[in-house]
Parts: sequence; C-alpha cells; structure tokens
Amino acid sequence: MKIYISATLRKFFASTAQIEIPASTPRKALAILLDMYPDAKKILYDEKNSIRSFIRIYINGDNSSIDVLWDSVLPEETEILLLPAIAGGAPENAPVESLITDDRRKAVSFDDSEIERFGKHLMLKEIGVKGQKRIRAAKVVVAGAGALGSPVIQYLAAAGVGTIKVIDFDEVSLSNLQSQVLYGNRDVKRPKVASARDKVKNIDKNIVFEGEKLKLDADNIANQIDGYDLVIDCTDNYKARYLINDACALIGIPLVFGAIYQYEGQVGIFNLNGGPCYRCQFPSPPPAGLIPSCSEGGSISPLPGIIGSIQANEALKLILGIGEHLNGKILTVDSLYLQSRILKVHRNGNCPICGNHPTITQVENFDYEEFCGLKENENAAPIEGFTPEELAKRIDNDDPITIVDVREPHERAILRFPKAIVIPIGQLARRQGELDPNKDVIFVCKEGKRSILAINTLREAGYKGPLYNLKGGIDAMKDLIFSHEGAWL
Amino acid sequence: MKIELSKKASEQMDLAANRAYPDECCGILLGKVDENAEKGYVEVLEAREATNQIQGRRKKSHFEMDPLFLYQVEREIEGSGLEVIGIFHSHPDCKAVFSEEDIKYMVPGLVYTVLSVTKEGVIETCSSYRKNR
Repeated sequence: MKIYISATLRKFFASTAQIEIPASTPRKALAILLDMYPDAKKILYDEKNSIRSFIRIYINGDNSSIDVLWDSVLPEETEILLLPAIAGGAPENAPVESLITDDRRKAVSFDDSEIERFGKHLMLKEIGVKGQKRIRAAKVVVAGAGALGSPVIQYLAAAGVGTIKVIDFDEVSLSNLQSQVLYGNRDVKRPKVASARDKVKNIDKNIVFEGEKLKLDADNIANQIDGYDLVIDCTDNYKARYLINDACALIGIPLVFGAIYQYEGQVGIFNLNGGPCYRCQFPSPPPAGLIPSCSEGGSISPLPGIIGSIQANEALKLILGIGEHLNGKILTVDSLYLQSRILKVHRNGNCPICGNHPTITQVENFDYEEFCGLKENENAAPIEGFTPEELAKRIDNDDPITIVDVREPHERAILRFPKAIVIPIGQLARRQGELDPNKDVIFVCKEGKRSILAINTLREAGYKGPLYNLKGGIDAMKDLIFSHEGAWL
Repeated sequence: MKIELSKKASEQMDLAANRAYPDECCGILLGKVDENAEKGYVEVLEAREATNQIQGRRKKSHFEMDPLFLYQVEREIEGSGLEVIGIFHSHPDCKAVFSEEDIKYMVPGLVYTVLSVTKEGVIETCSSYRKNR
C-alpha cells in the first residue's frame, strides 16, 4: 500500500512524504510504518492508544470508510493519506455579554416603588439600575413547574424578570407538596400554571406571566420558546430534556439545565455562544426503566430548592452578563455528604445536533420516544400485563399465581403487598429457580416500569414460564378494595 | 522559535478574516523554515484561505477545514521551495487567544495564527506553535 504523509506531520517521519508498504490491511500497514518511525507513534496515538483527535486517515480519498476498513484486505494500489484534522473554536470561557441588548435595556423605566422594591439589587455595583433594567427586559421560559420550577419561578419573579413563561401540563397533587414549595394545600387539583400565575402576580403584578398548560412535544416546542432570551429546564424526564436541549440548540437559545435525584443534583448551561449542548455530554439517555424518575426515585425536600436556586442565579448572571458561569460545565451537588464538583463538558464535533456536521436539523424529524426507549420494541416479545382489576380478581379467585415484588425494602415499608415474594431485580437471574414456570408470575413495582425491566431481565436470562406485569404498579392498585379483605393493601 | 509574518501573508489573513466576519475564517500558512538559525526561524510568506466547513450559526465560533484541501495545496507547492508551515483562523468579536478546542487540534511543530476581528476590522493577531505533546 502507498502511504502519503502530510507535510504537517512529516517531521515525525524523517521527512518522508510517501512510502510504499507491503501490507494487506490498513492496520498492518500503519503498524509497519510506526515500526520504521517509532517517534511518530505519540503523534498518531494518544495515551489510550486511540487515534488522536487531530489525525484523519483517508483511504483512496475517503475518510468515512477507515472505521470499517481497518482489518480489510485491500488491493496493493490502495493509497492511505495521513492528514491532520484542522479545526478549532472560540474560547468558551470568554466573559459573557448580557443576553439583553442595550436598546432593550434603555426601553425600561422604573417608578419609585420599583426603585424601592429592587433596592438590594441596585446596591450591588455589578447590577445597579442598568442591570435591573436588563432583568426587567428579559423574557425567560421555565419548562416544568415542579420541584425545580418552584424556586426558579419564585426567584425570577422576586428578582423582577419582566416576562416569565411557565409550561407545565400537570395539576398539583398532594404528593407534590413535599418538594414543590410553589404550592399549598389549597392548590391541590389546580393546574400548576394557574397556581404559579397567582404566586407570581402576588409577588409583583407588573410581571408579564404567560402560563401554558401543555406537554412539550416536537410539534409545539419551537413555537413555545422562539423569541425568548433563555430557557430553564426544570423537567423531570429524559424525553423532555433532550427535546428542550435540541430545540434550544437549533433555535439558538441558551439553556440552564437542572436535574435532581434522591440526594444529588446537577446544574449546567448549554448552547451558549457556541458552547457544548446537553447531548455533547450525554449522547443518549440510559435505558428506559433503569433510572427511576424523581416521582419514582424520590428526593429530599430541600434539594430542589438548592438546585433550582442555583439555576435561577445562573439565569440572572446570564441576563446581567456578570461573573463566571456554568457554560460548558456541570456543577454536581451531593447534599447527603455535602460535596460539590464542577465537571467540564467538551463540545463534541460529532454531536448530531451541535457538531460540525449535524444530522438533526429539525426536532419534528427526530423520534424522541424511540430514542428514550419509551416505545415498545417491536422485535422484542410484547410484555403482557394485568390491570389492577384483573389482578384483584385473580387474587380473589385464589388462582395459582406467584406475585413478585421488585421494589426496594424502604418502598415496601410504605405499602406492603401481601402474599408477594420479594426478589430485587439484580438477583432475578440468579434466583429464577425460585419461580414455578408452570404458574403465572406477576411482577409488581411502584409504577409498573421497573417490573417491565424485571421481566426483560428474566427473559434474557432464559426463563421460559409465563410472565406478567402489573400495569401502573402498586400506585394504580392501592385504590382498589377487595371483596373479602377491605384493607388488603 | 522566531515567527515572522510577511506583509503579504498578514494582508491575506486580514482580508480573509474581514470577509468571513461575523463567521470564522481559516486557511493555510505557507513559508520557509530555517532550521540552522538559533532556536529555529520561520518565515510566513503566504496565507491561503480555505472554506470553513461548519454549517449554520456555529460558524461564528468554530471552524473546520477539509483535510483534502491541505492535501491539494501540499501537492501543488511540491518543489516550489514553499512549505506548509501552519494554520490560521479568526475569532470574530473575541480575543486572539487559543481556545481549549484550538489546542486540542494543534499539531506539534506547526505555526498557529489567530486573528481577533470585529466589524471594524482585525484588531489583534497572535502567532504561536506547539512544541510537543
């Protein structure tokens, strides 16, 4: 094979421009070349023995085929080009300019009561009257009015953000009150956006509040966020997170991201001034069912207050153009052991949304359900399930069934499922001998999602007996009353 | 190492940076290396503008050159006495300093020049090279 070495790399190959190497595959050819010029090894490969980011290898003028051709036997006249990748970007840590233009700032005026209201901001030299006007001119979207949205919305309102749009499809439930400090007992069953409006208007009636009671989707997201300065992601699921990131990246709106899980939280800023996006760090979500959402996994009450407050603080800094911020970084906070870290996120040149050659150019054309594993896999055997009513009937009839509870011990302490045997998901494959393959086995968990994972795990482990899922989990079953055992659950 | 930019190369780079503004421009530096001089001496004689292959809004803060363009230029200047000695690009409305991403892609021994350009024109030029990995 012929190998051409770019002039830019030649000094590591004793100035050789072209060399003929008798080898059958590109891998062997390169190995022989590096035996001849051992100095070049550290230029082509990094410490982990992967090809360095600045090296591009072409085979007969084609760069896309090298990944599959490494070990292919190629004809003698094949030409391999060793070229540098030539790329770069503007510094990401450049001081941010305010998201609000001077013209928009100058259009704002304050009356006496507002000067008094925002006095503590006006005292800060980095904010002052000019900064407060920027805050007033800002238009911010808060996606999700739950645990994170509660502090975010209230602090944005208190700080005087001029336009706050809140998007949430849900209504307040009793279980929300443990962490969603925007709401109280009297809000239960009200739409969250309605209660959020009351709260915001009660703080500052001059704020323009836009409430949207809807579920964000690929078809509606662009309309919802276009024209706003900033989006704050306060959602609790991967589908929404990727959808919001992608739409922000495509439209060009900076995103303040936040997430919580049990005792830990994360905050980051994406899509700002050519910085990385959420996908650069997390190219794909974990398999569906593996990580419980907040509603299933739980979280300690003040945690969203901590994380949401940091999100609101980052949002204000972006609006003001002051300080250092989390652009291209993720702050992680562990509230149980009081540790926090800042992780650097690098822009990924191959990112499908913000890379150099993006493949996702419209959110409408991307299947988020499938990407997040929310669609039923057509190739996998479908998972059969019982509704709570059906299961109750079978228990009533004393049918020969086995019920397996895959919940954690502390969850079972909340609500016991009598007559169920307990096998954690991690032990299922090993303990499958405890199940009778001649009996129907029904898996139960809190919401009916981990039980699906349990069934798939058992099937993969080769279990042949009939497996069923309790649809909606114990949450859906707890309202049922059995005919002969009133307080059965 | 001493790096000297010729007037012609500077003008060619400024032109490319201004023309591409508010996007980033990029290109190849051609010149001569005098390895006998003390600590090395590089003379940049010519700047060839390349196409910035980034599409869309990201072009304002990123650049990527087709490696095959470099290959063509290398082939073209064979035997002319000129050598490919480096790469230039611009940072629109941003300082002439190398970003982490720039450094990640630097090939040791090449000269890298970055130009800070605003709508008023090029305001700062910085040249540098990476000694080793």
